[in-house]
Amino acid sequence: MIPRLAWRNIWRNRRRSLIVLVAIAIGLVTLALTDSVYNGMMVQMFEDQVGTHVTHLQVHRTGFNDNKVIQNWLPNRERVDSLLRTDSRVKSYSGRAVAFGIASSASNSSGISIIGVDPDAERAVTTIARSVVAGSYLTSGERSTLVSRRLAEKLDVGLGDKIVAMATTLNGDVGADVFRVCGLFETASSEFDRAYLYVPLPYAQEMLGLGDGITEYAAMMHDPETAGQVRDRLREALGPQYEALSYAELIPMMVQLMEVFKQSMIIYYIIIGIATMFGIVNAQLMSVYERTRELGILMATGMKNRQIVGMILLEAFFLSMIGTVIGLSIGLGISLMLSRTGIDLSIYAEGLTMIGASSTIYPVVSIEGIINGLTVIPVIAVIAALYPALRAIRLEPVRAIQYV
Amino acid sequence: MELIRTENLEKVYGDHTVPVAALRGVNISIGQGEFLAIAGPSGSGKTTLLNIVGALDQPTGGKAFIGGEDLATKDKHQLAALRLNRIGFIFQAYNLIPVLTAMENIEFKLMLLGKSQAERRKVALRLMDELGIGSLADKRPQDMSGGQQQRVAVARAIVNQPAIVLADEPTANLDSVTAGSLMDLMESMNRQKNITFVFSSHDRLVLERARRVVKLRDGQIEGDETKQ
Repeated sequence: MIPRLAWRNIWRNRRRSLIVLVAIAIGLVTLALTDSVYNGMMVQMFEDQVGTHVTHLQVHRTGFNDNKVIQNWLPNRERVDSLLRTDSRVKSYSGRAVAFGIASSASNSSGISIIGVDPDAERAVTTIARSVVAGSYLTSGERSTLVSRRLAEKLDVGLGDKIVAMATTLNGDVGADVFRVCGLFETASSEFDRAYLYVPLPYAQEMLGLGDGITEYAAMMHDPETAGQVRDRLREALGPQYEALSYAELIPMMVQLMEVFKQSMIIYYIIIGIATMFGIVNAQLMSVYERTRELGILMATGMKNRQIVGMILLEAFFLSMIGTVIGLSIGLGISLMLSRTGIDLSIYAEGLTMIGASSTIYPVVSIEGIINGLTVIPVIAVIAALYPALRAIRLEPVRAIQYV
Repeated sequence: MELIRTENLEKVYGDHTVPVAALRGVNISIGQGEFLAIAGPSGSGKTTLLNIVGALDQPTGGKAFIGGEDLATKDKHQLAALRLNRIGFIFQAYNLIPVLTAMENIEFKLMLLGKSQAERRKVALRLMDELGIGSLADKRPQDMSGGQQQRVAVARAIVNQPAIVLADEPTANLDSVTAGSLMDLMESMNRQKNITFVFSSHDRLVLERARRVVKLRDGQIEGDETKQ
């Protein structure tokens, strides 16, 4: 009966309750939209970085990740190959020969990373084949190269034009080869686009004097969450000569960015929580003040302090929960709608691609966001209502009954 | 059997500079099943006496006992439990909970006593029928007349069969016919259920119907008359 009483009490002053409710709802709409947009941006950035090149897991010779020189090539690749091939958690993997070098055309040159890949294997682990915007993807057996549109513009080359790639070979000489541009790609990251150039693996190995060697394996998991487990297994099996790194170690900036995003959402919650707190304290204090006489009657009847406190906290809970559910529903509804259409931020495209974000953001609704929304604000409201509740039980029944 | 007793009860309101003595050495003993009115002009201390024996207020001097228990020895929670279990209140302004129906107002005390919903409903319905207010079950206070509200207030006060019902000016807001009918109702509850009724009133009708009238003046007992 106390919940029923609390429920009816909140509708005694409809206007006041509606104002509090609408304020909470607006806060929650903002919170849900911010959360889903940020979340969508993070998911896209993460998927772009992981999907374009980084992958869920990489295996190198120890030290390669910090110092990407060809001398740190991967020894005994068959052993690593065998471990990856036999692990059911690994969806696909690709061997690469990666070296810093220079790409030159007749009119310009640029420092780049030359990535020698098996076109078919790479297609299975990254989205680079799907990022081709002109021409075609690499074909095994052709001395061709896939460059980004941005790099092509810088080098002033087009499809079918020649590019000279140069890099230090395994024995310290300068290796060079000529590749014909077969395709242009474009990813969400302008930094990536400026820095990478793909060639078929055998030609990269030949140019770098690697024989049939590679510098790394890149692997995708069926479930990204298992990347850490596979990494640990590889570390144990391969020993200290090798480094197996999961995406969290390969792109620490991205992981930190996601952490910053989470922290910034906490700040949003605090701001909206404080606003809710003031709204609830104000509404409940007014309500207690107006019901002084009635509270005195309830006390005279024998209602215990904890029951009065419970009733007032329930009122705050109901009020905040209604606001939360309405706000969250509207916010999630808008988010879901935008997750299909996307939010076009192309006017900020230059800035967004610099941090590896796409210019079209697709909000992603997270279960964590829904749970946070449904719990944080009502909990804050209940905490805020403690003050009016304590004020209520400090009333002397005999004075309260005589209150006019 | 003695139910209520006061010994040299005193109550002084206000600060030390302007003290107002509402009760000045009141000694009274009220037995089980009495139908008693405390009479006196405004400011004579009727309501103050009722509040103290109802465990709503503390005296500044003397002692008050209910069922032999000294109220001064009890803390807030024990006093609340005492009010819940042994005392029913009826107020001049009815003071029903506006957001609850008549039935829910009556049930409320049973809920505080931890009775199940089915039991509450059964007891409340039976009592409402007994008091002739069964048709008001689903009505809220604002949809009832003053007389109807006061009958619901009586039902609320006696629903758990308390030892004492304290009624502060219960007929003050009612016309004489309705007031008479309400007194009939309370008298019948007093006789049938042996509930002690203590009224504070200066309504002639109440004083005529009470079987004992204690007169207060300036915080002191001026007279104590028991009718035959």
